[in-house]
Amino acid sequence: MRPMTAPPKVLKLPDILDLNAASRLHEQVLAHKGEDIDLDATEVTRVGAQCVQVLLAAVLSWRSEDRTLAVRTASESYVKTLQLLGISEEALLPKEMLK
Amino acid sequence: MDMNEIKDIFFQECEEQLAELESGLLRINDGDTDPETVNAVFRAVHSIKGGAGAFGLDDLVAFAHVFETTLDCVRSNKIQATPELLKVMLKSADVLADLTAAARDGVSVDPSRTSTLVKELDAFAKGTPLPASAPAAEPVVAAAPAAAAPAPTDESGFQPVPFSFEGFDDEDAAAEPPQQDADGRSVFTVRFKPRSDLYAKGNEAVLLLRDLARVGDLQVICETEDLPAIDQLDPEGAYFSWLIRVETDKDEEAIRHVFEFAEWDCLIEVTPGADEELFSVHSDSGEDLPMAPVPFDLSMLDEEPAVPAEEATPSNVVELAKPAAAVQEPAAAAEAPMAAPNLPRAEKAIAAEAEKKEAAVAAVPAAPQTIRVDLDRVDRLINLVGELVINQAMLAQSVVENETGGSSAINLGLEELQQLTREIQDSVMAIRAQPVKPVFQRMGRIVREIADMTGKSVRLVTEGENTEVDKTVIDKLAEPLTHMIRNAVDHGLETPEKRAALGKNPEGVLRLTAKHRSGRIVIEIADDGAGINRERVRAKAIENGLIAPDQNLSDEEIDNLIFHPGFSTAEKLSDISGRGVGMDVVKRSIQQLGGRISIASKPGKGSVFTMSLPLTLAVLDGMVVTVANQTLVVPLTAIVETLQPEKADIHAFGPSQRLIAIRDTFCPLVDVGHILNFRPDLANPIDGVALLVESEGGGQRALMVDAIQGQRQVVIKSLEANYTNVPGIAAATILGDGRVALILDVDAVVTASRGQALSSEMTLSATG
Repeated sequence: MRPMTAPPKVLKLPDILDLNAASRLHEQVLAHKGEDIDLDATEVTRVGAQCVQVLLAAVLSWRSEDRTLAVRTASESYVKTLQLLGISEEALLPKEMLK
Repeated sequence: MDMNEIKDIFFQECEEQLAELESGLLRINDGDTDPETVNAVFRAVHSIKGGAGAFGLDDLVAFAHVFETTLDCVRSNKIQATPELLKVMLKSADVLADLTAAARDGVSVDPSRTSTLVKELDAFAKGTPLPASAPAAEPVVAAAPAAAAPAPTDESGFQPVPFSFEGFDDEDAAAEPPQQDADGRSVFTVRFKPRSDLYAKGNEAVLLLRDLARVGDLQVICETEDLPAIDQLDPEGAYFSWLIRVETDKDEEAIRHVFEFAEWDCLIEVTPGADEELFSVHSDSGEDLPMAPVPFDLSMLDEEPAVPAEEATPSNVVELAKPAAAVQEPAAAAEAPMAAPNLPRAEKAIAAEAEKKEAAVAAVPAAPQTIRVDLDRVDRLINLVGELVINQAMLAQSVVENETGGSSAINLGLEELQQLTREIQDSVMAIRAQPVKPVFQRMGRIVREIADMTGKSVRLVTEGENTEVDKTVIDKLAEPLTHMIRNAVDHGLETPEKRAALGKNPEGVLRLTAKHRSGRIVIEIADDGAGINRERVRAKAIENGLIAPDQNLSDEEIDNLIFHPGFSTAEKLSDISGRGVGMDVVKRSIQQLGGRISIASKPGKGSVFTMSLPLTLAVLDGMVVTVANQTLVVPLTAIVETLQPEKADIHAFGPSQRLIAIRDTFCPLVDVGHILNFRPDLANPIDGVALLVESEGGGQRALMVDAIQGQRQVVIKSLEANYTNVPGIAAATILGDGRVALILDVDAVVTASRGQALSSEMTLSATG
């Protein structure tokens, strides 16, 4: 049972989320299944489509289990790349970064 | 390297590309729907065209261009690969091969051949196949090529998947040029669906989209429907696809150029116009959503962005470990594209090119690295190794003869030398070993041509094409194979009407198989035709005076008559067979290779021709025996067992024949010394050793020799090349003591033992 007061766990994403990082990211995210997670993408300098796939799948899976997984803070590079990829998932795009 | 050398390499590469082209087309013909196969076929033609252009081979370029255009239509699903189209394409592949050969030899090709095909290819590409080339064909065209209605490729095949852009005005979009606004900017819709290969080869969708952003303004819709739940997701899979509205002052080509190096690994469609409603719906769907057209600041993306100042890490922050890539040295190929944005455009192109090459290497499963070596050099090496083997044997012999006190060091060294020599020899032989595939592939064309000429419908099925055999054997295999294939189609298979009447599939099947069997390569050509018409063969043989009218022959003997010189049963001489060049020539060429041929035929069911050939013409494992003070070598592959005859086992049979009882059977005993005229009288079997051999005809014989000296590998030296053909002797070799020993032709001896005289004529017409 989730204590209602507990703050979500914060996971810091590594700076490089390219092709080689996707498997690792997948494992790391899965390891926290069942917990509310805030992702910190402030250090992300590079993100590839496969890692975005992992993140989006995670957001949707968490949501289906009534949990939240969302990116709270992010680097500009991260946000721009997600925009370039046409990702419209709010949970992956911290609002304060958007104009 | 001068121009001619480069040109030589180009033609060598052409041969490989042509083989690739043909095998690809055949795979498609057999129902292979992998888009990569179409890509491979396209690439083959494209490379030939490219190289030909560099050498100014205009005929070749012109034809390859038309061919390529049609293939491109297939690749992009504008037209379907129907059997009719494939027929034309296979013919085109043949013509392309001819044009390449002509360009190499500096001759010209009958222009009418190319012009007809050009018209047919053109017609297919335009979606209006010529009636002659596609009689009663199903609709060939999935969509008129000009039609922009996309026919997206399913990853698993090229069946057009019904797909429609809602609100997309098909007719107008099809016919009209790209929508242009007042500034002369055009709008395109790009559909981009990567396959996991794209990522696996180190390409990155982000980079491709970023490059696309340089071409024009983008509105990107990411289609995420294929994304599975997180625990079912393959992190290295490709689930996203994109629909992108591009507004640009450039043309479609510029857009396609972006995907140039990735096009093999993704579905990419560029269509003029865009469903504005679709894109506006997306951009309006939420004020704070990023779908509103974002003017991408490219410079920012290319730079290392400023990382927001980091606040003190909260205590519950879990640092995600650096990705594996950051720990292990990332593969260069995978890293390249990510590093690429920092490079100037030209360098990036080079990087991409290199990456593409790497990707191409990776795409072919386990494609080994190869170098081209002049065949002469290999042959020289083989000769030298042969000499080395002989020398090593001589050295061993002289050590034995000089009785060096049995010094173990010398003996040990010799043994090692022997082992090394053997290994070197095996390795050198392996260099020459080649798969029979190229020869088999050539047969495909021959079948097509003859099927066309005779109006028969034939499907060639090949098996075991990767079976390896010495290159000399391969080179000499093509001619007899061609004859046999021609014969099989011309004489063996019935016409489609006749087959239908007999309740058979109108399409005849010709099966070409290669396999290794007990140290030899066995090649079978089987047809499902009428089988040998023994009545007719017999009548013909009597008519030609080959046999007496009252001669009693077994079915096998009648079948074997077709190998008799000058025998042809074709009632009318055709272009294909007849002319007295027939199975006797085939038999002779195979025998010259040290091979044997046999035939099995069932009336109404078809015939099987089986060729058995040595794997190499350079060395042979043999048993060294003595016969009447002569040293002979008997090929080990022929020997079933050796035995010491007992007096009780020998039975006289007629005036000169003797039988030996082996377990519960009797086997004719053949005195090798007598047959080869080494001695006038038959030797006493009790004094010798019997070698039980099996001949290709199936019968067993006990060959009697005086003594067995041992077993060793010998280097074959051709008698024909150095002396002259000797009946009963296959070749010669040099022994350790420097003497020449003859290698026994077991089949010839066995045949001779059947009562026929041992003569060269006999060797040729031997029924094996």
